[in-house]
Amino acid sequence: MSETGKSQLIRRNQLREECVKAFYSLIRAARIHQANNQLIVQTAKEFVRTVVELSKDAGDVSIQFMGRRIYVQEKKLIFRPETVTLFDGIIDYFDKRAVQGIRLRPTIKDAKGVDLLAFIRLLNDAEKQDRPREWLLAQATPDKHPWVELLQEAYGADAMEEGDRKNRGLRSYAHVMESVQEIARKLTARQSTGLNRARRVLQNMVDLIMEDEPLFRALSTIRFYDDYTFGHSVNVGILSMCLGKRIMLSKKSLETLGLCGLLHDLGKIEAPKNILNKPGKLTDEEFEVMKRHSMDSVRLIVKIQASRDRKNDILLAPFEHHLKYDLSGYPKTDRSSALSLFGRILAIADVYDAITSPRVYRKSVLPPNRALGFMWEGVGKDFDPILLKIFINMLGVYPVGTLLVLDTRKAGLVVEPPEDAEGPLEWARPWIVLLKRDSGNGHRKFVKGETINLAEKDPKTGHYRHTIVKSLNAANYGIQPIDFIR
Amino acid sequence: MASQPSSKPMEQTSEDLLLAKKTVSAMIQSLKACTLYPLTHETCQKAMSAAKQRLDDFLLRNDTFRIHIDHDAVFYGETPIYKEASNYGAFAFPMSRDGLEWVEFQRGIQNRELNGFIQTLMQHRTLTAESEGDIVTTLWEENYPHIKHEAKEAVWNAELAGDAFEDLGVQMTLPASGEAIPGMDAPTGEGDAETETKAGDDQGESAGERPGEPPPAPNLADPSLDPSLWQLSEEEKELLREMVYEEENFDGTDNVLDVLMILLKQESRGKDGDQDAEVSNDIVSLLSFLQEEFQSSLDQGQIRLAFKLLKEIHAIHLSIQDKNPETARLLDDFFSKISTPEALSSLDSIWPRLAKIDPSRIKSIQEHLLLLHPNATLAFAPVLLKKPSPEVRKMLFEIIATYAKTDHRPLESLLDTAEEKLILKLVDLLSRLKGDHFQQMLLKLTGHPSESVRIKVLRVLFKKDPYMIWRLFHHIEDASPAMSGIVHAYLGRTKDKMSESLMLDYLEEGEFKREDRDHIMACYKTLGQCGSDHSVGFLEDILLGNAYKDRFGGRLPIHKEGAAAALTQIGTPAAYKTLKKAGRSFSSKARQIARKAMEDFK
Repeated sequence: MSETGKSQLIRRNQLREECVKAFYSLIRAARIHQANNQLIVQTAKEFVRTVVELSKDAGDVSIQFMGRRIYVQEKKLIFRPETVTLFDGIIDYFDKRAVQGIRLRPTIKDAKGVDLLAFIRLLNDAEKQDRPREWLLAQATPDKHPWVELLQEAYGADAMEEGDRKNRGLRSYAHVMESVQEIARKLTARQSTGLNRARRVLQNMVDLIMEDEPLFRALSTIRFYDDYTFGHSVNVGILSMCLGKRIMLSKKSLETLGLCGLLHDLGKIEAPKNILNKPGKLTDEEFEVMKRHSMDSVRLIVKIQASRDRKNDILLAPFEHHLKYDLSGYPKTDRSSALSLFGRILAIADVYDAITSPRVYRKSVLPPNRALGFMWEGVGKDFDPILLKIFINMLGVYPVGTLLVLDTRKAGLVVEPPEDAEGPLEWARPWIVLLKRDSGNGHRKFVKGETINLAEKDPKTGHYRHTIVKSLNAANYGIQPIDFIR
Repeated sequence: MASQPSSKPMEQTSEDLLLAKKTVSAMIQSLKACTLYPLTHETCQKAMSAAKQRLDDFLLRNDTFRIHIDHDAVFYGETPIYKEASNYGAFAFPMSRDGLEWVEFQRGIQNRELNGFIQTLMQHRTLTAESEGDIVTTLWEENYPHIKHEAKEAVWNAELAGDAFEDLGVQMTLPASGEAIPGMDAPTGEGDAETETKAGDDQGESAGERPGEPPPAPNLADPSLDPSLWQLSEEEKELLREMVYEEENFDGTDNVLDVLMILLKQESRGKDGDQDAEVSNDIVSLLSFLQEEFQSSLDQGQIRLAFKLLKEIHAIHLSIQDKNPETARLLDDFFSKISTPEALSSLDSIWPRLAKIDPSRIKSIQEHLLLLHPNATLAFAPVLLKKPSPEVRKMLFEIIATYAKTDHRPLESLLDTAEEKLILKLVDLLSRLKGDHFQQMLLKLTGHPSESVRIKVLRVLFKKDPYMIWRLFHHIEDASPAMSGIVHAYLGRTKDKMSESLMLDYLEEGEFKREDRDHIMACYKTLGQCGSDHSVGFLEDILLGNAYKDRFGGRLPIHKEGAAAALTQIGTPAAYKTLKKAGRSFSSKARQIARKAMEDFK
């Protein structure tokens, strides 16, 4: 993110906090002061200013609570020691009045000071009523206060929660990616590097995966052209952890598995770029160079500053990730031990992400369902049959992010596997979000359309309403599925 | 990060506040105590108990005790209850540095948990860029049931609490292909020619262009494929449980060592002596890690793994030593480093166990230990003092002897510094070794401060080499009667020309450093024991003549007594004749001495 973007983001968060602070000051001042009191006037001005500022971006400004969290414009405010009292005060305030919060319209800038104060006093007085919400609704009618609305239920609660979760997931993705980039950068610069940051963000990711594995399966569809290696590493880490969760690995093991995924291709930082990004077929010599990367990953992991135990935990799987279940593949060695569990998991996640990811030298790639089909052909030879089965069950035959074209000439992205699928027909009928053309929006050719269940049948005919004509890889069409999922 | 969210905020009373302050203060005290003393120390234990007591007192009144952390201060609710005197204190600052927002202690907390928390703070007092973890990662890992916490998602970018999606949006942008989605919005008749179940390859890519690139692939959604194919059977479910159990409970070090050896072989191969600095650095890192592996295997009693590592690295060393001397030197260093007493101290526990194992295994252990650097002498020799079984003692003797033949310096340095008991054992060892070096070591030990050592060495040396008496004769004048006694005993053990010659020369020269009666008498007696008629002339001169009066001064009578005693020991007719002659001497002293001696002679 650019510095400007970052500072804008920080500024907006500050403004949201200032808005809540001004609101709280105003309700407290209104309890003791008259309308013409300077403190009241100043506080009211400040409150209006913050609302107007915020509304420039997103129209209405809501201040509400959910659980013990405060949301402004559906964005959660972060608890800090100095804001604990403020936030708790606001939450209790709304709670005692049995309302979820308020929504303020940009027209507040035209509201008269006395009207604003009258509304605030209504809010304050509601506490004394037997049925405060009903009383408030009766008193604070839209005709008297058109610039404000009382929220009886969390406004946009689902979206807020969803958006919150998705953002947390994306932040986690970004942090994890930054952590592996940092390790690579330091190793390239011959600087010492540890695992603290990577572990920290991975632990966070493990917690999030435990809460919401589907979100992370969706996040693993993120594709990068320019930063393929690192995006791929994060995706492999995520897919491995999701698979690990499915087989009931402990959280500690999931963290280790995530680290393995994150570092499995570390050796590629030393591969010559001209080979790494070479369009077309590699020569035998070039292929030999590329094959060194698993060994190089091990070599670089050894150089990371970490305890012997930690390194022992994360060395083997990166070494094994190009070895197949029958021990063919590379690096070729005399070693005859069976692959480790983590190595077998990584091999599955690595191949799946690789063959579904467009590359600089390979613009067109397999759709996810066919990638799984391709992998299924190697079951028992290339891949551990048990783990591959679980992987397929986890992703579904049409994994999230698959681009499907319907007989209705509509195209959509798979957003959820089918519910309670029984038998092959249901298995192949996920939920999709339809894509609509959007000619006016910069780089994005499509916008999110309706979400439909492909398992839905026409009650009259008993036939499915939609038939899948084609499956495609969204990345081939410049579509980042996560933009449309959730 | 981590932990369940807390319940509603607490309602503070002044009593709560006071208890909160006391609890935090007690935690800080225990942290200080544990920084100064070992955890098992009484002071530390007391401090820990006091902190637990304070916490329990608080938790009697409240279900939870949650503290908020802000840089150098701790808050209870909105009230600051502790502020560190310096900006970088040991309690609040490390927690804040690691992004902890709050920590909550819940009713039912066990000593183990609170102690673990304090130890975590201690462990992460300082944090470097290379750290493996911090307070938050450790708390996450430990997952204490009654300690909850919340940390910033990432301390590096904590201010970006907002929209990471926007942040990523730029990077995530995929180039619009410009290609239309086939079949989407197409006029009737286009794009719906076949359903997915029949659809052919729509990848439109050049499969096989890159290594591992997939060929056209089947569609798993094809209804002709039975999804039960990828359902797990009961047997597979059981196998899976085993796989997971194995992964989480078994040590994979063996496999890791395999991989590290493969890497070391690859790195060591080099380009026939043309090793660049970067590769050398890599090998150094790798060897340093292998050193840890070796150490850890020994510490955990996994001797087999440690030996496997030794054997393989040794094999690599052998294979490259001619082609790649630089790497060979690095490998030598490795062996040297893992052969120190500190590195091998964990073996102490295995020696007693070895008594019970069969000889073939002892042989195998010996073979592996012989791969170590001779520095290991310093580690193994002290084992000899621990009364090892005869088999182990024999093995250690052989090992140390072999090391010493490769490099005698460690043994030599041990002889310079070791305690008397150990040196006595090593003298036994040296007694069996041939070669100038070992003889020199023994000779050096004849000057050892310990008399026991010197005595033993002298005996060993006399036993090893009859000619050694030439180099050790001077010990005849040793202040220690035991030492000189050994020389006398050796010289006088039998009639021997060499001994006679030595004694005769010594007495003839008359330059004694010891002139006490016992010494002089002993010398003459020894001469008598080893001597022959060849000495009789000299003894007669002493007994009868005055020519030596100047030399022996006032002590001439002692020499006359000695000469008489020597003649008695020689015991030949010529000796007797001399005594008889002396018995008739003008000198009354000579007569007296000779007559007494003749009594003995009879």
